[in-house]
Amino acid sequence: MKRNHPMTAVLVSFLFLGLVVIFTPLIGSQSLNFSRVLAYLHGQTTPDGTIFFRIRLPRVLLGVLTGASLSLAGVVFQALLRNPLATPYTLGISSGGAFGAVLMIKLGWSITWLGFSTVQTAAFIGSVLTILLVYTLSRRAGQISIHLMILAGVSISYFFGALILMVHFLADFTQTSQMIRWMMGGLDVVDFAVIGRTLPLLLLSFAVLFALARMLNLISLSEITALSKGVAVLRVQKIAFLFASLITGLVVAMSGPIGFVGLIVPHLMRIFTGPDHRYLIPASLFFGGAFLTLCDTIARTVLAPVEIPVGIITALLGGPFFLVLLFRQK
Amino acid sequence: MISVQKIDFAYNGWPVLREVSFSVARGEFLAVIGPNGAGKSTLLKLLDGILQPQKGYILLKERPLPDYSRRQLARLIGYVPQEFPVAFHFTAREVVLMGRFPYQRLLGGTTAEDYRVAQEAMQITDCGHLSERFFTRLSGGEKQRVVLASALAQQPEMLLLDEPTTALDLKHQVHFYRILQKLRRERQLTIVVVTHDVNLAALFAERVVILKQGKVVADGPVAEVLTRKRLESVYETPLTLVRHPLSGTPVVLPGRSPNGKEVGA
Repeated sequence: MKRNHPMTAVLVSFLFLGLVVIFTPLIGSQSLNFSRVLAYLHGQTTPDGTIFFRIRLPRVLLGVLTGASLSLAGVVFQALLRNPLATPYTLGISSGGAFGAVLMIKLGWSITWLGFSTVQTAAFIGSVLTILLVYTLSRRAGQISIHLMILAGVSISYFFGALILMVHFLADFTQTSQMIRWMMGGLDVVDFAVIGRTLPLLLLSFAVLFALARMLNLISLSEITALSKGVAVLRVQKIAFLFASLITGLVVAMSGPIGFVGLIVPHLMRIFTGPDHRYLIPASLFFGGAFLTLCDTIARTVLAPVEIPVGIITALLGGPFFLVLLFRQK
Repeated sequence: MISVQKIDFAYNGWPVLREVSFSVARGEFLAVIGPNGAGKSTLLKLLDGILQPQKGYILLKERPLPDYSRRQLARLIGYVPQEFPVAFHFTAREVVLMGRFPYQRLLGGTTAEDYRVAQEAMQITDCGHLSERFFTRLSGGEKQRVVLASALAQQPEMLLLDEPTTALDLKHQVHFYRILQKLRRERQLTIVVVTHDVNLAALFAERVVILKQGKVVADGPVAEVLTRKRLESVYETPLTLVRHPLSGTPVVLPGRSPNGKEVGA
């Protein structure tokens, strides 16, 4: 089987993202007129412009950033763990984050600092502590044991899963429904300021991980191969691990543990770009951002005015779509 | 080229190599043989700096190995591991081009020079026709040649090969060793091969080091080192040694024939 040039896939996914960003904010329970939206840019205050720029565009931006981050983190974890089934959540980042969030909902503390709510902050801290724990547990004699890392991550996920159930059990009805809603993941709870504050960190992480692309190619084969071909494996593992965890922790804190994107987008893109990370990373970033935004558009329109949590749509749509592609590929 | 000085190595306190010393001259073809668990593969990993000895030191071109960065080492040493796992669908050419890593800049693209060297490496190892095929779908012999091409793309001065022909049939075994011989002749590559195949080693290498239980028990020219007595004591089994009718090199056969004792009896 021959592949097309991987650059084609990168360009197509970029164009797709462009179209999604321009057109999905026009769709919604209130349909917008494009010329009246443009008039807003010339200083005219139109309701269409306000809805487009103040409500829908931030949400689309958050969708793009979240989808891109989760897809990239999926790519990086699959390479680092040399396991095509790895996801951004394999090592327990999301369960640690979820525990932090659920605990904060139960405690009911509510302080906002720098635009971040306590639930977001607790989710982020939970994610970071979890990943530090997994990392510490899997260090052995100056190396990272991938095997130990997966085992540690999976056991810690179960552990936090139990703790989350415990908190659920102790919570009252309102809190429980809040918790369940958080666990489903959604892009509706964030204002522009939060996006603005996390954007530089996310973009920096994207750049760093892209710069590691060629080293990730070698590490995805084996550590010994990578070493013998000149990669400083431990250093690259540390950096990749740190930044992939950081972006996962940030988006989990902002939008909850949205599932499935981080697993299928890397796979889907690999069909078109092949496994070379220099193409796979940008294609996954672009397509992942577009895919999640598209799913979110469906989530907020299909039963409008009721909004379905986007995590449900990603799995409902992504699952069958992915299976069809997989079986057609052969 | 490389000199090993009294190295000790243990995995988590489990001793593997003890006081191992030897050196390899530039352009030499050295075979390291010995029973299972003698520490041969570990020795190769130490030579490539993948593992570090607990005692003693290794000099590469008169410089201690830890003084080199991974990148510098990759430009000097090509390592062909016993297994080359590939979890994703890389093509053979992509695998070979990965050998260019130590020459590439962080954000630089793949240069024309990279493609040229990779192409040449694939011609030498006779796998140019495989370049578009997925590595995972190749046969054992094809894979081994692609992995060798990837090591050659590093333009090394020395090749370390760990059991390179174990999974290959007779034709591919000979073919593979011929390629090594040619590389040594035409490019003065230093070659260290770890193998169980004493006969092939005798046919192609000029010097043999025998390891047993982590120690060097013999080191010298093929004809001197490979004697029946020594091999019998190393492998702890009765053996017969004959001369190859064409090359005159020793050929080892299992079982002992003198005194009418039958093979396998």
